[in-house]
This record gives sequence, C-alpha cells and structure tokens, in this order.
Amino acid sequence: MRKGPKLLLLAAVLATLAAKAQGPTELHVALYAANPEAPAPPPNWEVYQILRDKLGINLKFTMLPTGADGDNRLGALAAANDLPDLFEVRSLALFDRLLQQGQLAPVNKLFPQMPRRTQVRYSDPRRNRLVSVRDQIYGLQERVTLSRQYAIWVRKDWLDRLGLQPPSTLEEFFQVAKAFTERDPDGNGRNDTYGFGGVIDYDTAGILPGLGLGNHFQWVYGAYGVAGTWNYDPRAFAANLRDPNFRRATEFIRRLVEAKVIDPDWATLRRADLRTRWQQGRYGMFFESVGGLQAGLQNFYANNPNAELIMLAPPKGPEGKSSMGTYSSAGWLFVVSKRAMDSGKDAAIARFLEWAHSGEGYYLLGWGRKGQDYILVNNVPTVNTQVPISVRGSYTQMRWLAFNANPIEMRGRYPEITVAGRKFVMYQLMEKAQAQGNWINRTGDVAVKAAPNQADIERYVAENLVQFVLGQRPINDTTWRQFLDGLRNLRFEQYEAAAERTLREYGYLLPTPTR
Amino acid sequence: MRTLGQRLWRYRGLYLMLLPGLLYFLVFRYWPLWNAQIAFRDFQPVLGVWGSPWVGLQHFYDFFNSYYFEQLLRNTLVISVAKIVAGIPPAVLLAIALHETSRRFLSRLVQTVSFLPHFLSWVIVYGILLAVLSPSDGLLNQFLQAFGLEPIPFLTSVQTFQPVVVLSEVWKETGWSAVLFLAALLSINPALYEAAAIDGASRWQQVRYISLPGLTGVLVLVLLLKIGSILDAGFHQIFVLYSLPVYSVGDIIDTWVYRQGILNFQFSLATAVGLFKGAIGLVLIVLANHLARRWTGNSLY
Repeated sequence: MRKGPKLLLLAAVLATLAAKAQGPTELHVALYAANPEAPAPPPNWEVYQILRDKLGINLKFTMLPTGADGDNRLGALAAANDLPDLFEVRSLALFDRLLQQGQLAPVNKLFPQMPRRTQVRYSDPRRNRLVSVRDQIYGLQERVTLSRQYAIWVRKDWLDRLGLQPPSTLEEFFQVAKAFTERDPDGNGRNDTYGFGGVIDYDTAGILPGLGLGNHFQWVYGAYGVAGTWNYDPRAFAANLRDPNFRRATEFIRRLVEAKVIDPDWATLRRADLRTRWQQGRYGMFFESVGGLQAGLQNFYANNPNAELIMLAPPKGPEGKSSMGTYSSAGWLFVVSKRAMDSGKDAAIARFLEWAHSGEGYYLLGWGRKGQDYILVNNVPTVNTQVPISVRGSYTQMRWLAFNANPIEMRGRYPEITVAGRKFVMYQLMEKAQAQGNWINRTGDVAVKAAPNQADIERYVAENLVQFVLGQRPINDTTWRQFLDGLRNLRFEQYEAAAERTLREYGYLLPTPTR
Repeated sequence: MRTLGQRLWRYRGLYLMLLPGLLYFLVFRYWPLWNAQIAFRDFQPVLGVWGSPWVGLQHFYDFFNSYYFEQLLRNTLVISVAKIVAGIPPAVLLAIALHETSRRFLSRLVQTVSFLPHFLSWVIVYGILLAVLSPSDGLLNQFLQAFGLEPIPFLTSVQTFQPVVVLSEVWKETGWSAVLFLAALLSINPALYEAAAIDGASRWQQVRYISLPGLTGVLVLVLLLKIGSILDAGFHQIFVLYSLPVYSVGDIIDTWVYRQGILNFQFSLATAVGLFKGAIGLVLIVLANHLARRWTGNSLY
C-alpha cells in the first residue's frame, strides 16, 4: 500500500474516534424504497445500534415511495427548505431544480474521506461530469447496477405447436404474432390469445426512456436505427423523430395494431396489468425485464404448466439494424443538502457511506440479517426465500447504497432457481439480455436539461404517435409533416439546439453510436 | 343588553363546537393565502416566500400561453358542466324515489347500495371499468361481439372517453348526492302531503307540487357550490382514467398542473393556476348567487 491511502485511512479512523468522543451526529437519510412490497426497517434494526456505537451516527431513515409520489415528497421537502442530509434523487428535473435553487452542496470534499468507495464508484470523471457545474460535483453519481435487462420473451411451446421458428426480423415477428393471435396456439378452442403484449411505459430502471411510445416499443425503433430521443451522429444531430425511419417504425407498430395482434388494451394498461396477463398465458410474445420474469415465473407456470419461454434477440429491420433499446451508464444518484454540509455533517456522511460500501455495512444493508434473510454459499449471498419478501425486504431497504454490481453480487441477486421442475439461471439470462440486445448507450441524455415546457413536448410527441398507431389519424406525407411542423409551436428547435450544445460540450456526440 | 363576553359565555358550548371548524379554515384555507404570493414570485425555498424575487404575472402568462391552454380550459369546462347537468337529475330522482317508497326496508337497502360506490377509490373504479369496458375481454364488449358487432375501445376513444368519465362519476356519486336532497324532502311538513291527499292529489301531483318545490332551495345551493368549483373537473378520476389516446379530450387544467407544475417542481406556476381557478370560481359564484336570488329568491348568502 502506498503512503497516501494509508494516511487517508488513518485520518478516517481518527475522525471516527473524534466523532465518537463528541457524541453521535444526527444524520437524516432519505432513499426510495428498494423493496416497495415491504415496510421500512423496524426501530430495533441492528444497523441503528451499530452506527451509533461504531460510527457515532444517529441515523434517521426516511423511506420514500417509488415513482412520482416519492419525487413529489422530496419536492415538498425542498419547498419547505427541509431536505434530508443525504438523499436519493431519481427525477433529473428535481435535481436541476434543487441545483438551481442552491439547495445542494458540492460533494467534492467527501471523496477523500471515503477513499475505498470513491475509488470504486466515483472515479469516472465522465460520469461525475453529468452532475457537475464547473469544477464542483453536486452528486454521488453511481454507475448503473442494473441496465439492459429487458428482452422480448417468446412462448416456444406455442411456436412448436404451430410449427414456427423464433422470429429474427420484423416481418417474421409480424407473421408469428399473427399466427399466435389467430391459430389458437394454446389449443383451448377459444380466440383468447394475442401475439404481443407491451404497454406505454417510461420506467427508468434498466432502460432509458426517450420521447415517444415508451420502453416497450424501443425495439421497433431500434430495428430502424432510431431508438432513443437523439441521434448522436455529430454530423447529423437531430431528434430521431425527424428521421424518415422514425415514421417507418411507427407505421410498423400501426400495422401490428391494425392486424389486432397486440392486446387491444395496450394503450391503457399499466405494467402491473401486463405482468398479470403474460402470467395468465395470454401472450405469445411480451416485453419484460429479467427481474420481472423472475418475479412472475411461479404464477406463470401455475397457470401454464406446459409452457416454455425463450429469449428473443431484437428483431432486425429492413436494413439489418436491431436494438432492444437505449440505456444509461449512470445509475443511482445520491446528493447532500447544502444545510447538512454547512452544519458540518460531511464527515458523518462519508463515514456512513464508506461503511455501507464493503464488509459489515455492505452485507447488512445489501442482504439483511445473516442466517435469517440470507446465507453465504461459496461466498455467494443466497437469499432465504422461506422468509417472505414483505419481511426480509424491510432489512434491505437501503440496499442501493451498498450494491455495486460485482459478479458475485449479481449471482446472489439473480440466482439459479427451479420453478415447476425447470431450472432457470437468472444471472445467465441477465448476461444474455445485456449481450444480445445491441443496446445503445445514451448516457448523454442524462445531461440534457428539461425544456421549460417539457411536459407539453412529451405529451405532443407521445399523443401524436399514439393517434397514428391507433388509426385515429392516417399516416401519410401530409399528416406526418403536420406532426413535425407542430413541433415548432412548442419551441422544439430550441430544446433540440440546447440538447446538441450539451451533448457536444459533454463529449457525447461521437462519429459512430456508442454500443 | 348583554355584553359580548356575556354572550360568548352563555353560548360557550356552541362556540366551542364552532372552534374546530374555524381553526380548520384559518389554518388550511386562510393561512395558505399568505403563501399564495409565490404565484407572483420565482419561489426559491432557500430564500423563503418573503425573500423570493418578484416576477409579476409571468407564471399566469406562461399558463395562458401554454400550448394546450385552450384545450385544457375547454375539456375542464365540458367535463365539469356535463357532470353537473348529468349528475343532479338522477340524484333528485333517487331521493324522491326513496322518499316516496312505503317499504322502509327496500328504501334503506337501495340507499345503502347506492351509497357504496362513493367510498370506492377511483383506482378501484378503474379496475371495474376495465373489466366492463375492455375491448379484449370486457363484459360489455363481449356482449357486443356476441351480436357480431365490433368491440368499442371506450377508454381510448375520443368519442367515448368523456361520456365514460361523466357516467362513471354519476354512477359513483348519485347515492351520495341524493342524501342532501333526501334530507330536504324529509324536512317538508308532512301536513302538506296529508292535506294534498285529502284534496285528492295523486302521488305524482304530490311530487310535482310539494316535493319538487320543496327541493328548490337545496337545488340552488348545490348548483351554486358546484358552479364555484367549475374548474375542478375531478383530478383523481381523470388522472386514473386518462391515457395518451384521449389526452385531447381528457387532459384538464389539474392534470396539466400535475405534469408541468408538480412533476417539474414549478410550484409558483402551480400556485398561479390555483389562484386563477379560485378567482374564476369566486366571480362565477358571486354572479350565480346574484342571479339565483333574483330569479328564485334563494341564495347562498
């Protein structure tokens, strides 16, 4: 070990001792629920005691509801100038707003106080730049721990029954979807199946949403080379929706809708409804994450004991292009309130985060109670599924502070499971989804600031596309031109120009799209 | 003559009962008006309400000039007025029917059953609507298909969305709204019905000449209150039911404020829209109250 890190460690130990001598530091941490199906940790959670005894920290943990409710709660705390000391931000609009209002503190001075964590997680200058203003870094930008985990899953038993091959092109996809809808693939004599199930969804976990019809149809736009909001080609930068191929992809989705091979409820269904329906066995093909599949397999095989699922590579478009969608290499974002930094809580925050990074803290926050919630099998944490998630989930609500996506961790999170006598090696499925999806890196999107009328822009694009796809509007040269011309009234050019400036400044406009 | 103190002491029980209501209005209705000034400021939490810079009418200007302003206003008014027009007659009819029935058990049963939907959240109602109206396996569409008709996407069609919103509100709230009318009917002097019956009036004539006139005061009251909140078209309901295909007929002022103001943390903008709605409501209620007093002799104040 070199002398520098030794001194830093010594300083950290001395700081801990000094803090203990002064009495515990109150630390308010707010994170989104890692397990929304479980309550917050109980008051007698051993972590509270350990932090008090070993680190001199009196932890107060607030669990935020996931989704917009959690964002709104943070927004309300910000409006009351009562932000927690350390908290997670998932809404980039909120991050920008807090930054603009001066409610966030630069985190630069935390880095030397938590050397191990910083080295592993915050040493990528490009990722840090996403949350920087001039030389000051305003957030602990983690690398992504879960991305590119979505895929199209196909009922192989239905393919076999109808004598079909897994589709590899859009045209084959259409034909297979049609057969699944019209040729009674489950053999029950009823017309109750659909070729494809997907919904309009903009969830940010594992896939990066863009302007348009949401995550579940990115693979169609990917087949035409226009997945995501922006074209990162520096010589032809523009919003992808201006590309003629964007219209062609939209026309393909319209074709699926017109042929009635998509569940006709798709435009109103929520993700939970979609999950219920594929588990019931209504769809021959559906868009789902590996994690979502893992959670639903038990139900699926209870309803469809003879089914077999396979993962489909993203279908190729007319020019041979394919991609399951876009992703960002930036993951969870933790920030420190200015009030916390001003009141000298930086040392306590750094101690806490360094503790959560490895060893005791990592296992306690990431995996729960050893021997109860998990055991170590060949060093791989193995979750005790006998304890329901509604119980063990309470003890891992802060897991995102600990997890770092190392291979052993991924094996623990996506283990080998047996459902209805079938073996599923989930981490291998995850690796496969990541490898064969031709995913497109669009990390730069994270740096692009929202337009002042962002909600109107998002509505305009998505609403028009839905109208085209549902046949509420014809797609022809005139209507498509009207759609594109209408963007002018939303000052879309200014948004586009600002995005280009940002992406150039941050170095994301590369000669060829980053894979 | 008693002094104010003596009167307060004498009626202390009543004043005590009034206190929680007064406190509610002071804390939740009047105190926030002070903070409503952020509608005219660029609110910065660090600087506080008082320290945030003034921006005049900028947020109002942004709202009025937003791309969808006219559509939002139109949708809000259409849905709100339709709910009033379609909602009051069934409630009045139900109240009269409950009042007229001589079978108490049946009356109570119907009242309870018609009450229940009021206590369901819109999320649950959405689930029920999906089960009935879904084009894939909804009850109604299966019925249509059994007769060889094409399924209708009730929740995603611009033609049917507003009727679904209005009718689902009527279904959910009729029983609850009928309570007020039923109370008014019960307060009518029974001697009037007895006298009418002795004079040979039929049940229908009793309804027409005693019950309906007896409801006028409550009808005016209900109408005035609804007019006062005409720009509240039902955020929770629309938020749960609407989707991209029907934004053009379903997006209302409150859902826009949620997306643009709350989700984008533009609290000043959201407050400005709230003030705008309040001002319109105030003008309408004063106007309607004046007209109601002039035409019917009944009014709120």
